[in-house]
Amino acid sequence: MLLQIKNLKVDYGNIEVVRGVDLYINKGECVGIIGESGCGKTTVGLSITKLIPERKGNISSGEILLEDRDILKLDPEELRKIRGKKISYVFQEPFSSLNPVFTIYEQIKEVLEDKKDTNSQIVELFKSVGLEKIIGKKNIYPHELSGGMQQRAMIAMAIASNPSLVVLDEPTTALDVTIQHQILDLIAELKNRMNLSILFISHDLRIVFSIADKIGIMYAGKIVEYGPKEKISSNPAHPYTIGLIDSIPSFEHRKKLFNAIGGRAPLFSDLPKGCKFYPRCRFRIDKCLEKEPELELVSDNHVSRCIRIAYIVSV
Amino acid sequence: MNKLTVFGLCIVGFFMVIAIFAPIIAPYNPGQIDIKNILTAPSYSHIFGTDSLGRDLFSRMVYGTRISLMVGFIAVGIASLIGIALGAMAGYYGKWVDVIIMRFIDIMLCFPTFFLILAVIALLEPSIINIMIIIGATSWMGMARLMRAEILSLKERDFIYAERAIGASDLRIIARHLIPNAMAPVLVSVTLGIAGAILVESSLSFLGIGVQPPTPSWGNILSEGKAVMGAGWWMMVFPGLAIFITVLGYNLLGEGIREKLLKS
Amino acid sequence: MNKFILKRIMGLIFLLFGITVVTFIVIHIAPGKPTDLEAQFNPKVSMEARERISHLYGLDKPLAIQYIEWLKRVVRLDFGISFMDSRPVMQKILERIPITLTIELISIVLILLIGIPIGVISAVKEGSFYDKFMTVFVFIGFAAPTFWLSLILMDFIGVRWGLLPISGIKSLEFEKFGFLEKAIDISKHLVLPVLVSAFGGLAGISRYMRSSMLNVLKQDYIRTARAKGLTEKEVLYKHALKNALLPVVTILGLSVPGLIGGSVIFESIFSIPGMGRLFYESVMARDYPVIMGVLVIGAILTLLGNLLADISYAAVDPRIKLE
Repeated sequence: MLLQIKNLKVDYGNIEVVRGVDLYINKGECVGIIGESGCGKTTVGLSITKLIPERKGNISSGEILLEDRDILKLDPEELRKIRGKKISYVFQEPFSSLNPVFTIYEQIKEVLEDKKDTNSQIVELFKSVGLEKIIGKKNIYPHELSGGMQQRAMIAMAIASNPSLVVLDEPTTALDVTIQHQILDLIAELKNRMNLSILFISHDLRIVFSIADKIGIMYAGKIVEYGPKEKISSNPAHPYTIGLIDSIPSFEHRKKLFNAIGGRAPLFSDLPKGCKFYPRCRFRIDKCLEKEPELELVSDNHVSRCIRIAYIVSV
Repeated sequence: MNKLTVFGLCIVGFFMVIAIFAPIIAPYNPGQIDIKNILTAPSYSHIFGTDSLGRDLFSRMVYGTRISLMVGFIAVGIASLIGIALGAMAGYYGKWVDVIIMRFIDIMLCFPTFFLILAVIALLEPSIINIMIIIGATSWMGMARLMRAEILSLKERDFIYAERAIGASDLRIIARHLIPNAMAPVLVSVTLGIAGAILVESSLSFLGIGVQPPTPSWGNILSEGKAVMGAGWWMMVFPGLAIFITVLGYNLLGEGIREKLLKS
Repeated sequence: MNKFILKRIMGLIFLLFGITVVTFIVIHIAPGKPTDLEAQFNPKVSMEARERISHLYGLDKPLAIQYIEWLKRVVRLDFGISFMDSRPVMQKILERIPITLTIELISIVLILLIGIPIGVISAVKEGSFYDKFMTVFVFIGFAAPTFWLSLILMDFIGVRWGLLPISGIKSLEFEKFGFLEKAIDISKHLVLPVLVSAFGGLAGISRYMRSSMLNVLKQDYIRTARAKGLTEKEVLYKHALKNALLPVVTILGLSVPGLIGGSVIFESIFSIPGMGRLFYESVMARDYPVIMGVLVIGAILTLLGNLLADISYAAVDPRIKLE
């Protein structure tokens, strides 16, 4: 096991936004987290190397084991050595994530561990992320690149030191649709070639289905369903997952039965009693209000946080 | 409210009370010369001491408060009128009106303000009224820019379109809807502006081209203090402190309002 | 590059034109003609002065013609002759400018050297005791009147303790000194004026630097820098600081008129023969040619300051290309 997140809880101020998340990532595996904006998925990603803004966010409990070492217990210096080296990130907005006043070369050079012959290393990186165009152009700044190329530069930075895990937080959301596909293809190719382990965070089910091996669906700060991609897509076992799948136009066979999810995600400051999805759920019964359900086994490796699994699966 | 803001508000209130009740608070007539008591140090009968003509410093400073605050308020009032009117016009009408007003502001901002003020004073007599007008007429540019920016963002809002649709006149839209909605940030600059105007007035009076003796002002008392440097520290310390504390009060209040606005 | 410079120069010419118009109007719109005031305040030279000014401004001609004639001479930097000593105005100004500029430049350097670290550390340690202490210091700096500060310093450091000279820029026996002694003498004279002139600006820059740095620290690229595993030093003093420093260039440009305007106060208090004191003396003597000359030159210096700031900004910010 490469990474194990156990019972992670994070709060901002006094409001808990990650309310006990467990997640496991194997070597060479891509795990996707899906959820609406504000469900806590980005916070999970940032927590892995304690990147949550200081003074605002606080990891109140849990363990994050990278090859059996608890990252949350590391001192800042040890943590720093993991960031960018063992665990790297690609964020949503490539333009604002790159420092505007340093050249792309300089920003990539900073992550290289081997400070000798950085030029040829950067050339290799540019080749592998499809940035051949700017090879040798040492004076290029982020604003001179297109959004797609900026994101390629971010990816180059993320893979520069052969990390064990890359966290991709909505890496294609800010890009045009055609560019999205190119970037996804690049990520898939790098994953195979470098045997990368990936945590892929997105609100877009289709994108996650196209790239992930396993998928976790997050709602109101908890994983509500988790399992291999095939099982989730063919046999979703949580009403929220079903709603998400139904809102994808291409899954026509299900759209006949259900519509997209109505209502809005609850506020963390004002969560409903019992099952947090109750107010928006089509399958709700009074018993759902009694207490928040635990994750229950649907089939091998497939769990769902719903008391009506049997009924839902049978429909 | 922030502790510092409350402190600022207390200072502002304190000096207002002094200005309003000056005749009651001042123990002596501020112009009363007493040649037997020249430059006496602070004592029970003259708590701030006396000046080089034997006048009671405390009483002069109490009356000086009136002058300083009046100059500050009226000068900023004038600056606000000019700034709000020009800024609103530039923002609302746009096009050439905007170009002309903004270029004029650019030109005005090239002049070191203090130079401009001195130049005009050279021509006019340095009366209190002239000083208020001059300070007002040379410090409206920031206010105008602020107003323009606010109006620019407000005028595209739906309620303005609605007003136009029912045929409201430009003047009505500007005066009834745009300016009141844009006043919040202007309030910050008014508060800070009062502090600035008080500083300018006291600088001018200190240089001898502001409020003219025998009318007492904090600045011209300090100027007299400079003349007796080494012989009467109280002439230098008290008026300076009064200016400093007042300016501090308005600055704290202005910053407090700014922070409050940023949060909401 | 050429287009940028051309556009700037056109803008400058327009502003220069505007400056002369405003200067001219300020002097002519006021009630009473300069000649009347001159006569009223300085009866000794009244007749001679009257003729001289009438000739100088062509006061009998229409205002527009007067302006054009004045402008023709201003373009050649000819501001006429001073009433006080009959010397060319431009010559008097040129003698004074270096002194004022030297003091301003030293104070700007001082402001930057002290103000930037104060602001940056306040931002990095936001909410700490240090930050709160500095906030109080900044409010004090904003509120303390320059002239009062000058007086207190003069009284204590100069008069009571006799540590530093408080008047002029050199001692009476200056000419007898060797080179080193001369340098020390001038430096000693400049300490208090420079301190006073820097004090107010210090508060401004450190406050500005603090908010600029706080703003930068919230940006996504700072999170990226941390995610890359850079040391906190690299994150703060390489990635954040460079971005936070950029706007300071503009602020410096904008502070030029304030600094020049402030020179009137401390130069007259410390009897420093700079442009501010020249202006003050001219105002007191109602020496119109000098007043108009200093106004125009002061505004031109401001323009140059802004231009310099714009060019430096374009030079340091890669996002702005001169094309």
